[in-house]
Amino acid sequence: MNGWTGTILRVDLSNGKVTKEQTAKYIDYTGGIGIGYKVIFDEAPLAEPFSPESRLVFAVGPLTGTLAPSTGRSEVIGISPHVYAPQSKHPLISRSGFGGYWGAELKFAGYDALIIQGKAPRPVFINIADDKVTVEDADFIWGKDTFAAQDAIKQKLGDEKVQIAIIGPSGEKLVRISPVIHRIGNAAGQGGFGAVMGSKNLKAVAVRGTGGVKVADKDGLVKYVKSVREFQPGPLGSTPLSHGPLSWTEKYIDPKDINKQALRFDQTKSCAPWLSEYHVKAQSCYACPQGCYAYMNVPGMGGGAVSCTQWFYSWIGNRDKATFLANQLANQLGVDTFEMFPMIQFVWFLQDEQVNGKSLLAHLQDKKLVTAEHAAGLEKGHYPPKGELGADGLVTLMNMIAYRQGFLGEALGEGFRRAMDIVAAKFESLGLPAGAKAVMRFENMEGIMGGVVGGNGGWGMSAHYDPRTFGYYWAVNFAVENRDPNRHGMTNLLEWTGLTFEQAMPVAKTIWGDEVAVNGLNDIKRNRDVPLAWNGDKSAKANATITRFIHLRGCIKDSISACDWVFPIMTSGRKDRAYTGDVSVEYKLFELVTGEKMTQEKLNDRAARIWNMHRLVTALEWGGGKPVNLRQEHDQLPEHFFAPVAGRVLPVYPEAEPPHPPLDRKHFEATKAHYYTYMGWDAETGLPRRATLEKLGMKDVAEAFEAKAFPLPA
Amino acid sequence: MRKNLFKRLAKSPTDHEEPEKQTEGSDDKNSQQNGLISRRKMLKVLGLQVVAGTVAVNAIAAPRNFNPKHYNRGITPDQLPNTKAWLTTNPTQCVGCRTCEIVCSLGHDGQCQPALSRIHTDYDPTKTLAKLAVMADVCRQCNMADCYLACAYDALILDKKTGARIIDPTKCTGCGECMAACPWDMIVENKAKSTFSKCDLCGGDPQCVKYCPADALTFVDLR
Repeated sequence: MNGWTGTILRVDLSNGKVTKEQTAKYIDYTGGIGIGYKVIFDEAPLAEPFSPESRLVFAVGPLTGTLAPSTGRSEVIGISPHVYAPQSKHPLISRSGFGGYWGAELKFAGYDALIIQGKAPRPVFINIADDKVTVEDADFIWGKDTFAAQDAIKQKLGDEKVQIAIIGPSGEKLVRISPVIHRIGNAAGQGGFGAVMGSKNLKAVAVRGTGGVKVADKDGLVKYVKSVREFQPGPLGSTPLSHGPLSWTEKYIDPKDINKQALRFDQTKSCAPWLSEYHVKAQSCYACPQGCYAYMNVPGMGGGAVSCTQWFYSWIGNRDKATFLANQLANQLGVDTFEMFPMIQFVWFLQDEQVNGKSLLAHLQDKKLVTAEHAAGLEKGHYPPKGELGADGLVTLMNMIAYRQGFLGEALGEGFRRAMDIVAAKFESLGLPAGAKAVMRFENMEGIMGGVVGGNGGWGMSAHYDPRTFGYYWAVNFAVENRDPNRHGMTNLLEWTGLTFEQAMPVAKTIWGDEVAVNGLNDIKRNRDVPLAWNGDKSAKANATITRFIHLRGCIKDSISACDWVFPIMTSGRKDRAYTGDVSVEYKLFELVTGEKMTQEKLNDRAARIWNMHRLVTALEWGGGKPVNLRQEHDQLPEHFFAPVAGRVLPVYPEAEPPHPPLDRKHFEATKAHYYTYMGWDAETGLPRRATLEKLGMKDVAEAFEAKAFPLPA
Repeated sequence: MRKNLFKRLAKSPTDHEEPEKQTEGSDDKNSQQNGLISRRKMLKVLGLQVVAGTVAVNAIAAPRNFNPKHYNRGITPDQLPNTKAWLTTNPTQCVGCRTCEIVCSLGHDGQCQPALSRIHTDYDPTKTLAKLAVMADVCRQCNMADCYLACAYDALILDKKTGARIIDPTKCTGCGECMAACPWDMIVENKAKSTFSKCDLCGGDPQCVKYCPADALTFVDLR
């Protein structure tokens, strides 16, 4: 087989049994999340995340391990303990992914996916060495941080080249914001899949493979990859490599000068230029030319890899070395960095909000729910001038979360949204309903950084990007997903590659045509009092078109499996191309690797199968098998996106612009209606229509769904 | 020996084409077709040259403790032409993307298989994750190449174009002497085929250099 290895590995931790299956069974769903969703649909869609029967799937795609650029991603799929959906009868399916070398190594070992089920009687790790797969004792690493534990595994196996996906102490303690960590900075951050591993007594999965991945047209692939590099841009944070111009527009940095490489941090203050002196070098994932994370070495804090939201302490206002420490602690203990935005702000909120002349945190301390030591640490972590927003406060908070220390640590370990409920319930039980009410005000928290960190986006997660800033396409994306709907395709058109709106618009027109581009896109840098543009039905259709594009391209990325930060390549750094990229790269790479004759439409169909599968699993979980109306019940946004902002909920630090004017519910619903039509879903219920599934070759799935649940709309 | 060395230094570098020219008329057609020069033939040529008092190579002096008896082929430094081309790496520019490994295995073995790549990215050479050095590691094409000296089956030969020390797969018996001898761990074992291979500089157009996105590899070419 070209691309795929043809084999899937299954490990049942309850009895230590290892079996191998044919990938052919899942091949219509491509790979990555496609395999994951199908496995869960077939086997355990209603499992509780921490139950032995819940499936945790690590899957890669046909392109992983090949020369196809930026395809080293590993996808992690499971029923998420992090997703917050109190109206759903069962916890919802979700996904996360990580880069690095693990996914490619899994392919070299001979597998397209690893399905984990059951629960080990004692701490174990899975050791995959080509054909030899064993479940081994993990006593020697249980309790260790992710760096030390990986080093210990390598030492025990006597192989430096083994690649490891591992959990920190937080995962062992079932902290719901616990990521799966690989190496020193690759993380499947959101979804709490580290906690799912912990619930299975699974500390790590070590992989070593010596085989290869076959490609159909090797000369064609090499040639094509070279040509892609000549126009693809380097989005924010990536290193301007020699072959491939930088599109942080016209900010050229000589890649051959190590000292100047660090200057990419100056692209924005969020990348902590004060840490430039500790920069060691840029680092990429497997087969990726982007170099988008930084290897740094800070005296007293060790070496680590930092990228993107791992700079969270800087984004939230820190201006010293603690920015790096925050990243180190998150990766070593295992804490989702993106969740740290609302988390830190929630603690500030507890410190700032006064009830009966005393802060909420002081009330908790009075009731001995927070120790004096923890309270003092958190005070130090308060924003200036009251606190110093430095290392001490950070260390206190991160340890409280990772080790679930005390009442507040237990609550925060559940993620910020569940923590709100827990703390509010505690105030109720203490006879302080005013305190409970105050806590719940945090639900309306705004984002920071001009809408890049979108505040509470629903689903209990810190949200990527504020729909009030970006548009209705993003609002519908929020509503239809089961998680923070993070997809970077749009932001790499409108924001992170540094194009102005005027430069991006002609690019957008080449992708969707004039009508969609003009009626669907908004300048995200517009004044904060300017609402989203709306041109009646034209805008509804344009936004729905873009949402569909986001979802199909998202499913393509996560199944073939390619980096979200890179694909689709909408823009280019080259002025001579009018900054236009090429959105056909995915299917061309797919064809060169697999040999399957491919078009964008055919690859879209593959993606649509995956997205419909996600929808069906969601429908099963939402109603527990009973009929559901996903449009009304599931596809909603938190209220605050529709309400004018009365004043700032969050602490005034860091300085943040107010959100853009609220969304209009009518426009939101109009966009949804067109979106369902474009997806072939029933406009009333938002459920996939039977005819749509049959057209996609999913008749068996439609039948299986109806046998498990209820009849689908025709 | 010392006398020869002086003579050698006085010679112009172009002289090392000489042994190759003289391979014409050799009875080993196979290696001729491959554009390669076998060790045995070369020794013959070199032997003639020694007799004639015109050593045609400019190899640097061997290590002080060098003893040809310790190698399978008994070759002395004056008998092995110097390397004319090799690869170097710049670890500060390398981003660890492993493109070099992929194109190497794709070109030589027909699939993406870093385990067979003749160039390695040693991403934890300091043996702990957090020490951070990630870099490509390459065959040095040593002058007195231990792999070359170790082979008892004449499978190690010189590439006609580049002078690279390469392995003739038709002669490799899979004994592993070259791998054991290499101090840089640059010999690669193909377990499925029971043969060994090493960097051949792609005949003068190294693919790893061509496709490295970070310009972290350099082809030093003194031909």
